[in-house]
Amino acid sequence: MTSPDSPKPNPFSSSNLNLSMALPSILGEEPRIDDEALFARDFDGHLVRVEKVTAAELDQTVTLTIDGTDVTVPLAVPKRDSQGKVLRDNDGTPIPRPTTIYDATSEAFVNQPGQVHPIPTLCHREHLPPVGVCRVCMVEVTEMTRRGTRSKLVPSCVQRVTDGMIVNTVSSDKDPDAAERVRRAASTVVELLMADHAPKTASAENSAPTNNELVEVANRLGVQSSRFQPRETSRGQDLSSQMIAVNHDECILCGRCSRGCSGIKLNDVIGRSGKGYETKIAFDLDDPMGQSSCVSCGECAVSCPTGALQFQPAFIQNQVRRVKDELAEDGNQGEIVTADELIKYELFSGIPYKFLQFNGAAVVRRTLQPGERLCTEGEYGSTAFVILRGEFEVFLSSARGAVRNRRADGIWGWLGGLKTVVESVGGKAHLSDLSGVAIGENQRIFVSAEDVILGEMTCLNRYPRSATVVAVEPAEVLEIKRNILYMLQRNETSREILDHVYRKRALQNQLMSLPILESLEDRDKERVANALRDRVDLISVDPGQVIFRQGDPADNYYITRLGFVKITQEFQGDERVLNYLAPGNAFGEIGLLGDLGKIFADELDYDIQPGTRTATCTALDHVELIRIRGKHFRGLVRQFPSIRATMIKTVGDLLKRDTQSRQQLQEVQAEDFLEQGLYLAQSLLVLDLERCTRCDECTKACADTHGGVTRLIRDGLRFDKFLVASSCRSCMDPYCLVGCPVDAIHRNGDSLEIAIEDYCIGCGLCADNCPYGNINMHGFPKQEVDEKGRLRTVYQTKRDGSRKPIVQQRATTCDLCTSIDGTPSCVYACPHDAAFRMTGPDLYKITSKK
Amino acid sequence: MLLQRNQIRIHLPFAAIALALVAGGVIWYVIDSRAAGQWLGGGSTVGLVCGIVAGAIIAFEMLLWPRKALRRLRLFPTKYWLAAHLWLGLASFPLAVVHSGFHLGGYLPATFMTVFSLTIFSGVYGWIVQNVLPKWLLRNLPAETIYSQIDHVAGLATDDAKRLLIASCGQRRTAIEQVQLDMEDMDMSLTQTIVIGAVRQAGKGRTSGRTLQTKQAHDSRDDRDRLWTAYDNIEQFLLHGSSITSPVTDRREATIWFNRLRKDCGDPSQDIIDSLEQLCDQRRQFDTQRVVHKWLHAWLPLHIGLSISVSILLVVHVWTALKYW
Repeated sequence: MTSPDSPKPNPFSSSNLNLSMALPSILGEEPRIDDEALFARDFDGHLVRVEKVTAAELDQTVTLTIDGTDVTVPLAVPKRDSQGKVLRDNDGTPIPRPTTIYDATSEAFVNQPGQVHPIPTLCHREHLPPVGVCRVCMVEVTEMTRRGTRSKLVPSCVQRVTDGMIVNTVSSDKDPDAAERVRRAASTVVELLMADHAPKTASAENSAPTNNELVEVANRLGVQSSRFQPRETSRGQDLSSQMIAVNHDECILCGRCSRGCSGIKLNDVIGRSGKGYETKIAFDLDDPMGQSSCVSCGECAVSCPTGALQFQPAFIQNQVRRVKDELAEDGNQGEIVTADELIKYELFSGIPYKFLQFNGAAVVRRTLQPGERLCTEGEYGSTAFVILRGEFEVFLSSARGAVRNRRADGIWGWLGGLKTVVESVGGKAHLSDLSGVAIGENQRIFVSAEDVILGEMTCLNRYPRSATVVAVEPAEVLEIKRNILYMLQRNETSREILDHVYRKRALQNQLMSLPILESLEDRDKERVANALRDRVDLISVDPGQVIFRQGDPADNYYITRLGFVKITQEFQGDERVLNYLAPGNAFGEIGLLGDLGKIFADELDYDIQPGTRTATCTALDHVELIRIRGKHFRGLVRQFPSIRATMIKTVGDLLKRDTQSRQQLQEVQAEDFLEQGLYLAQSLLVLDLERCTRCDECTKACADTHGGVTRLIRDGLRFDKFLVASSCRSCMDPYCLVGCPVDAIHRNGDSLEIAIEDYCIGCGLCADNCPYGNINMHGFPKQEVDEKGRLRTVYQTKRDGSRKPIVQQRATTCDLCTSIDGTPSCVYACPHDAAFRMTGPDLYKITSKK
Repeated sequence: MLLQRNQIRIHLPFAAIALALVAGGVIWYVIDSRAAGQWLGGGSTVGLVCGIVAGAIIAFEMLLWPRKALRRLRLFPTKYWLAAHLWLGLASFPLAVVHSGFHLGGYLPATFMTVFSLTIFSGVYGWIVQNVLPKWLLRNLPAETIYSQIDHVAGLATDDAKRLLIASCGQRRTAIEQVQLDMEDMDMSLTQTIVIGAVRQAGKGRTSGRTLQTKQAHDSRDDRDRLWTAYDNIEQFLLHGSSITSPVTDRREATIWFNRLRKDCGDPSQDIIDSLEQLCDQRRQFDTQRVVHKWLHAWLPLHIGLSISVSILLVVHVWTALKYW
């Protein structure tokens, strides 16, 4: 460390300004060795402060003053992933991380999307782990010590909050002197960065395009020009990738690209190479980007705050042209909203400009006339609608009569079932029953621009649309793709807005249909629902996470809103599956008996052993639960006498059912069935091995239909005489849809199939996500849209002059042959009537009968 | 194609058509023959009609070939194609017999009839085999895999076995390690003993005294070499199956061999031996699958070859019949 007493000349500056001399003058006092003593390296090799945080600190609060405003925040907050989902340890407890000054400032001053954060920063983003390398986010902190007050500059993104701390940011109005000190310190850092990394094309003053955060920060801090001389050597450019251009000279080594690459996308391609001034980001072992193992997911360019990683203009133009063509082909009305236009909307202002560029045509503006339909119940949409103006009516199209296919009677039937009849089997089914939105059959809900967004539930939970939406007055919406919605979730403010809307819609009416309230009058149900509305929790549980364990203390009642829950019980040392619950079912009732047992002691002639869980409940997929705390429920019982009689009966029934279910332990096969996720399957390819002669006609037909590449493997799980071939199952909750950087994988319309579009970039994320190995990566000749809008194969010319098509990896999966006529070729081609498509529960029924 | 009750709806229409054709042809033939006072030949009206129908059926049967080649055109669900192929093919034989008037005729018709009979026979054989063997496979070969992938899966199984050994008892010992170990063993044999019994009286008379019953310490590292040697013995079998002579090629010998290995190894190694035995059993199932697969499909090239011959002979037969009408 340079001693302040013996300053050395700065070898990289030809100006007369000596940094080590300048900094004390800027700070106004001698620099001190602060208390940053303990350091460790994180997964990317960044030097980070070691902070011990305990789960108890999640519930402790501290009050500090930021720019004159008192702010109370928890001492620690749960760690979240890039989508804002709370990370948990193996026991399901949230993993804590310390609350930083930056977090507290966001909490206090950033409430709307697009609001300027009081603290400028370059290397930090709230969805990334903080590393504190750029030092632009410095704030002045005043704390009481034994020697009196002590002020110092600290990087706010890594400095944790303490009680009584006084913080002044660069935007502080209460203490202009402190704000000026902070500004001067940050400005010096920015000047140093600008000297070496400012874009050559735009100076700080006229940087109109807002895609360079360094220039924006310089403008904000009033840095007109740098006092430091730029360096003379160049780190060079890398244009080897057809998608991303790398300009090492503009790279400020903030590490956002490498954290995005390794921490978010888990690709681990980007690191660093070189030393000193030669330090630069490197791909793999310092390979050119185009020849590295980079999958072109675009995360690095989206993360980059400067022009160091930019999308190639040709790539963006092709994206836009392709979507325009698609819109024209499909006859869809709508106008593509460009990144420049989109960034002006408040809701989208938190999204990186380059991400909007990357997804050049992911947002389409649609104008609707009264009566025009926005979306239809049952569609597997992959888009949500941001309401700009107008009002919409949300309702259930019609209760669908449950139907089944049967062979025709008479001559057609005798001719081998050549004709199939669709017949009603009675009963009514709503898609909303599955997707968890409880909306009355004759109910109408009106939504307007105040509700911000529509159709987001389908995007977020991947279930079909649960209601139909029709415009009731001239309206305008922005139709956004799923990946834009995911990106909105990275921003805390947008996320809060979305969460609020989601929660409101999710709970709307769901409480009315609580199973435990079934026998109540509508009026009473409404009263109970109103009483509970603000008291229940909507919680999200990850696949495999235990909701509660057998023997745990019990005091909550749960209703599954989405997903499936497995109920297991320890039985003679083994774990046996008692049941699995589909959406709409409730569990954990016994937890309510803690006090109800006492309340109903006289009426219930039952030996109640309340207080502990009698079974373990585990989420099988992405599960959303409504949690009602026992005390609230007991309050209701006291408040509403009409519930009392119902509860006595319900509790009695529950106890009987619990006893029965303990006796009726299911067979091992059910366990396999659940563990293999077959209950989620909507279209399994099942082969009857008694009939199958292993002729492979199914595989050959699949390959013939799909350009010579089969999308099924005639091997897999066996249940009784049936083989579940490895082919896309069209899961109810397809995990594969999560995270595609270009939204190339989705469901279309109201059909089941998972479609992978031609513009798949081959990053392999969907293949990794599919737990059943049913998405495969294959090399295909790369195709691009030419000037005339036609697809053409891209060739590379070899040294000997020969041309070979560039091979690009693309994901493939079974699309149920929708590109042909919707009848899967595998089933059509089976000569032995041995191949079938059926749902998981259907398979279970067939195998259970045996 | 399996013949069972729940497939009756596929088969019945085509079986009915086939039956109608045969019954119609035979009844007509019998009536005309009785009227003529002799068995009519192929030149009679009824003989000619039966011959044309049988020839048309043969032509239709051969359409299965272009259907396969043009699979993606989806001309008709394949199960119906196959049902029609089976029943109409069967019907063509009695019609051809009726057409022949129970005479083989010259060399050409005799050859034609013989080859045609063999074709029908090979088809019926294939049909029977396809009804029997899939059920047998299902019952007896639970480890069955995709036929063309047997070698690949066997390779993976061999890798698994190797990984299992590395994970459970470490890498194969090098020669230097072996020498070092031998020296340690010598040392251990002199010094390392464990008590396995209680203190007991030994000897009688003047030399009696109290002794401890001891046994040389068992070093679990010994199993490593035994297991790796066992692996060496079975590796080629896992890769190439019954074409290799090994102690585990025969199921009965393998059981004895593995039991001996179990006795030689300590308790911690028992699970590993079980896994190795299962892999060997899987390999034997693959070998059986290979044989059964051949039985299941080897008739098809013969059937196709005969069918092509029949088609050629049919054309020649028609040409000569028309020429010498």
